[in-house]
Amino acid sequence: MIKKIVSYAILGMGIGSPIFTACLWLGGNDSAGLRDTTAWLAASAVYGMLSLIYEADGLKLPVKVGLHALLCGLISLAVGRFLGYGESLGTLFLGMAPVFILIYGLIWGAMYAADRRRARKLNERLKEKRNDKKER
Amino acid sequence: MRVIWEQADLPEAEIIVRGRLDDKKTAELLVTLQSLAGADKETGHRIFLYRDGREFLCETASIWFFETQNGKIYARGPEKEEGETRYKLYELAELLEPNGFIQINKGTLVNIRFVMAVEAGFSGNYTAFLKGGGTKLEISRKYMKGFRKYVMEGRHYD
Repeated sequence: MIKKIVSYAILGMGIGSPIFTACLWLGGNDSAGLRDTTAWLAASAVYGMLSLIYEADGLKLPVKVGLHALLCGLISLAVGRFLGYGESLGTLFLGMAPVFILIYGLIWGAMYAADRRRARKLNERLKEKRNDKKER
Repeated sequence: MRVIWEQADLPEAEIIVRGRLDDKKTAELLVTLQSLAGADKETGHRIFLYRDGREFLCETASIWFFETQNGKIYARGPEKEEGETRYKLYELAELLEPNGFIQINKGTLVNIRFVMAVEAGFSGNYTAFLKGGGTKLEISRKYMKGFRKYVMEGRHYD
C-alpha cells in the first residue's frame, strides 16, 4: 500500500510540476526562482529521455553509462550556464561536477536497490512455481 | 494446399500429411495436428529442428532456450545444441509464449521452467541463471518488464 501511495505521489509530481510551472508563468510571475525551476524541469525531462540509451541493444554497458553520464553532465552544464551560475565555464564545472556526480550516484544506487528488490520478488515467485510443480 | 476427406469406418480419425518437411506450412500443420491429437501439458508443443542434415520433432518442454547466432536460431538444451530451427525469433516468441517461453533480449527466448534465479546487475540489466548453474543469460532492460509480468502472472506455464 505504501509503495502504491509513493508511486502515485511521484506520478502526481510528474504531472503537476509542468502544469503548475506553466500556470505560474501565465500568472505573470517571472522571478529568478521560477526561471531556475522551469529550466531544471526541462532538463529533467531530457535526462529521462536520455535514459533510453540503456535500452539500446547494440551498445556495451560502459559505453551506455559513459554516454548517458556525459550527455546528462553536458545538459547540466548548459542549463547552469544559461541560468548564470558561476563566473566562467571553468568555475561552473568545478562547482557543479561534485554535485552532479553525487546526485547521479545516489539515483543510480536507488535504482539498483529497486532492481535488487524486484529480483528478490521474482526469485520468490520462481521458487514458488518449482515447489508447486514438485507437490503435484 | 489440397484437403481431401475420405469416408472410412475407423475407430479414430487418421490423418496423413503429404508434403516436404522443409516447407514451413507443412511443418506448422504437423505440429498443430500433433497438438490436436492430444499431446498432454507435460510434453506440450513440438517443433521441427534440424541437425546434421536430419529433421526431427523436438518437445519444446525439453528446450532450455533459443538463441540467435550468425543469423540462425538454435535451440539449446542439456546437450548444449539441440538443433537449428527455421522459425524467426519473433515467430517462436509468438508460437511458444503459451508454452513457457519468453524473450529476454534481442536474440534469446528462454523457457521459464529452466530459469532457477535472476540477479540484478548494476546497469539495469539482469542475469538469469538456468538449471544446473552452468548457463547464464542476460535479461535486457528492454525485455525485463515483459519477463517480470510473465513470471509474476504465471498464467502460461505450470
